[in-house]
Amino acid sequence: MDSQLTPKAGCELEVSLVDNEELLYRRIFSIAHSDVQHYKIFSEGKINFSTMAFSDKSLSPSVDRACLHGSDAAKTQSTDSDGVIGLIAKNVRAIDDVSSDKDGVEVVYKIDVIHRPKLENKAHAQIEPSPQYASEKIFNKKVRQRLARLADQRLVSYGWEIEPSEIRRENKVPST
Amino acid sequence: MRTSFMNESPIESRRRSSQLIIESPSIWNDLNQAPNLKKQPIHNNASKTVDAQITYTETIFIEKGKFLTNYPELNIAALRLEKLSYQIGSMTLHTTFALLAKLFDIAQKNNLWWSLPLINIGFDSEVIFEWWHDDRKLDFDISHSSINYMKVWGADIDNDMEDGSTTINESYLTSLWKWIAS
Repeated sequence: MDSQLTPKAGCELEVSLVDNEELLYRRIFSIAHSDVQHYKIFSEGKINFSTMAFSDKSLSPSVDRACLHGSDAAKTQSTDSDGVIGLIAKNVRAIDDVSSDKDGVEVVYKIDVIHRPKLENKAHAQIEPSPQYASEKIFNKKVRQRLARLADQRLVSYGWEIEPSEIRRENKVPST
Repeated sequence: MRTSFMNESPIESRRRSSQLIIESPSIWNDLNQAPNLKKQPIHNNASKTVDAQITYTETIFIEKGKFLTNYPELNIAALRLEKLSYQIGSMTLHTTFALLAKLFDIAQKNNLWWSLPLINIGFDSEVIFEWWHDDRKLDFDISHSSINYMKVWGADIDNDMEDGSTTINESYLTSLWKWIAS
């Protein structure tokens, strides 16, 4: 059995494979409502995502599977001010050039999206490496950069799933 | 060098409300990587203990708990660092000031592009600077006196990214800044 299909002990939740074409939602903090700034907006309106948008203490950033949220990105928001950006699973899995050197042996990491449902969020999935990172630096320095770039590209092509509150306010056309 | 705040936690640092107390002025001998440093000793007793309100650089500094700068271009960065300062150890804060001041100085002196960085704090209380310019990105993470950088110019992790460590070294930082500014 694929390890991905093995539910964690004590968890009765149904686990399924994440399809390559699946849309994933990543929560982005509103700049106005958080000490952490997940993106920078430039005067010309261009936006770049910070590596902080994909920081995670466990080195496995969380995403939600859109198909299990009924394509409702609002379910990924923690507060109404949060934004949500989309990623496609196959683009995350295409991060296949992360490597490290351990005792003279090159370790190449396969980045995957694994369904890790929680009781409170059945759509929850994580961006995980195989094997585990030899050091935090590999994730913090390299993988987060790549994920931020993917988010940049997604934003240019498809826009936000939900804009953070400060951008919503900015774009709101005043009623006459 | 041993100071009262070298290994303190961010919480301990916060208790002192960004007003730094040093036990010995010898700290300044160890900070020679930042040539613009100056100090404002308030009291110096016979036991050589000095309580000082430290002004890190002439570019960005702390005065009465407020983070200030003489340059309007850095106002927002000073405010942002003030807001986040409760999470940052004193030595990290010092290095952050010195790095930001030096990069700003390099940009001004060489008439290079300048923009404020995105400033965040990592899980280990390190300060993270991120700059974007066209298709290039330059990041610094600062922890205590160590500065690591990452240059990114594409999506290929092995071929389009370069990382390393640096100090407040004019020629090295100039080459990094010329790279992002070009």
